[in-house]
Parts: sequence; structure tokens; C-alpha cells
Amino acid sequence: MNFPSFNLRGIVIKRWVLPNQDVMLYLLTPSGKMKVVARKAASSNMQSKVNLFQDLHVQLQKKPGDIHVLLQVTLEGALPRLITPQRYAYAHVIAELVDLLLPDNQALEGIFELFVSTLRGLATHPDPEWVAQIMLFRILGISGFAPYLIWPDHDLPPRFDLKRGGFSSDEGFKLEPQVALFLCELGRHTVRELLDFTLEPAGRNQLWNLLERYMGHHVGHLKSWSALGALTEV
Amino acid sequence: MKYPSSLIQLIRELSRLPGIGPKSAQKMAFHLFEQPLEDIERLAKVLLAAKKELHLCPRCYNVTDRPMCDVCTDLSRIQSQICVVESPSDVIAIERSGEFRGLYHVLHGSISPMQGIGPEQLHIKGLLERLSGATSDQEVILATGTTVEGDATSLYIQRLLAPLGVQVSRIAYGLPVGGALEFADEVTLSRAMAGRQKMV
Repeated sequence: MNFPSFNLRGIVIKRWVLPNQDVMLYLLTPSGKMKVVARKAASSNMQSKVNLFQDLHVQLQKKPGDIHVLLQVTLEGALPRLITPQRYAYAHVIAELVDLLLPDNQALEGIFELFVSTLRGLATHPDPEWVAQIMLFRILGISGFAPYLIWPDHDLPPRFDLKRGGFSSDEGFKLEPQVALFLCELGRHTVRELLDFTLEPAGRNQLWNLLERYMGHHVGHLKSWSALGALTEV
Repeated sequence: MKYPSSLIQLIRELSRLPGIGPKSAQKMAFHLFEQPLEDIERLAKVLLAAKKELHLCPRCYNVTDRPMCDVCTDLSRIQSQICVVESPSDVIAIERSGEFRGLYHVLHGSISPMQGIGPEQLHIKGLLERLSGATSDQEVILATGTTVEGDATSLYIQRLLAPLGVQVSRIAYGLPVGGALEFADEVTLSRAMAGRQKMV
């Protein structure tokens, strides 16, 4: 029996090789996240195409009760600068977050375009850390996990309550004024405008701390956090 | 019909091996059942002995059954060259080529943060210890895989080694020997073009 095949575009957000040389892929496509097997790809010339963070045009086939099987693949684009340790570490954090947020075969409007622009930004922007911090908030926002960042007072919000996921006057951890100001501005500006915002190293550290704890509480623990320190120091 | 519990247990254990699915495990279980008892005893003995005797070489982290591996104890090999690879099977592949006469260092993986593999999970610290006090004659050949993970691992190690003043090189990318250009994929071709060499 012949099963129909179909074509689509996708970015590899996760991959691992099975002992039988099959490569398992998670593709982020405009119509959602998809688990795909590339049979014997680890020992064939397909291997160079099914690499992490590469933009692919794929032909897939799905038999009932089976996962998608990769029949053909064309490489549409790659971002070689993503292998530098710092950019690589941030790309892993972003990809793991997207993987965690999206259930299989479920679409989330805008996430594909946002992920593509995030990878491009990480690969090309002179300050990939800043790109990563801004885009993590954007990805959380588009997935319905945005923290509540509205503060009615004229003064800056003094604290951030992780459990409630927003500013607080008495609960949570104390915010540095520059971080509080950035968080207030986050929802009011485009990514391009936010990239011009400056945050001193202490502020960035607090923002990482906030992001890690906020995501840990509301989304889940990311394995990539643990390698972030070592990879961004070299 | 229900299988006997000892057969179910055997199938379950065999299917835990990498690359073995439930059907293959079932075939293997029936095959083992049909073998003479002495063959099974020999297999069990070999498995136990391998587990007891095999360990990682304390210097290069390759698999060995001696205090130090054969490569590390062979003084005829070029001591000033260390080839860094991801797995023990890479050592075997390079040894088969017969082109390399230096030493090895096995990382046991490549950096992949989202799978929980950071630099601390690999034997990178052991490499740095081996190279402490190395002179500029020392060469480190980074032969990790040509995947994004392998490339990122090589670049990370290269940055760690830069202050030590040792020579660092990356294994060449390119076309397979005997391959026709028209069948090469675009990534390999572009890397082969970028890494072209002058003909002398």
C-alpha cells in the first residue's frame, strides 16, 4: 500500500542519533512541532543536512500509527556562526524552551517566524546575550506564558513575585531599578527598539536569574541552563 | 499464549540493548534458548569478564583492559601529537587509516546543552591537564564530528587551548575519496571548496 507524502519547511530544534544510525529529529515547522525519523541518516550523506538549527525543505511520509519518516531533504539555510560557544549556548536554551512549550503536531501562530528571527539574531548580532534575553521574553509571551508586567504607580516596581508571575510591592525578589525599568518597557517596544536598551552586567545577571526561576516555575526546568555559564565564559 | 516469565525477562533485558527492538529481542531470546548450555555459559562468562576488566585509560580515556591503553604505553608513537575524538570507535576508525601515529584523547561525547551535556560532562578537563606544561611543539588535532555539536565542541576546546600556546588544528572537511562531485551534497561541497589546498 502506498502512503501519501507531503513537503514542508522546518528547522531542526532537536536531534539525536539512535544506535542503528537512524537520526531522530524534532522539526519546528510553520504548522507546529513534528517528530521525524531519518532512517540510517547518521551513516549516509543525509547527515550533513539534518543538523541542528538548519533550515530544511523536507519530504515526509506518515504511515498510520507511525512517526513521520524523512524521504528527501534539501538544505535551505544554515547559520555557521552559531557554533561559537556563547551563541551555541543561547541557541540551545531558546530551542529547548520552544521544544518544551510546544506539544507535538500542534501549531502556535507566530512561533516559527519568531524562532527563525531569534536564531538569525543570535548568529549575527554583536551582543547575542541581549538577543537571547529579549527573545526569551518574546517566546514566553507568544506562548501565553508572559509575566504580568504592568505597574500602575509612577515609581518603579520594587519586586517580582515568581509565583504570581508579575510585579509586586511586597512579595518576591527585589528588582534592580534598571531591570525594573526594562521589564516595564518590555511590552511597549519592538524587538529592534529593545535591542537599543542597555542593561549593565549586574542587571543582565539578575534578568537571567529571573528568567531561570520564572521559567522553572511556570514552564519547566531547562537542561541547557547548566552549560550556560561554562560556554559563555570562554 | 503467555510466555514463561524467565523468557519474558530475557526478552525485556535484551530489548534494553541499543538498537534492539522487541521483535529482535524475541528472536535473540529464542536463538539463545536453542544454543547448548556450554555456549551460553561461555557468553555469560565473557560478558562478566568484559564488564570487570574493561575500564577507561586514565590518560586518554579510551577503553582498555590494562592499567594504561596500548596507544599511551607505545613510546614509538609521536608523543607531541594528540588527536581529540568523540568516542572510542573514532579511535578505531583513525587507527584503521594507518595515517596517524600520535596519541589520542577521547571526550566521550560532544557538547549538547539541551541534552544535559555541557563541558563538565566530557573529558575536557583531562585534556587540559595533559597539556599543562606543553610546549609550542605540541599539536592538538580536533577530530570531533562535523555536526553542529562536534564543531561547537572543537571551537570551545580551541578557545580553551589558545592561552596554552600549543598548535591546534581541525580535521579537514571534504569530498569522499572516489566520489563524484554531482552526488556530493551542498554542505560538503561548500566546505570542500573553502578548505581547498594548493597543488604543489
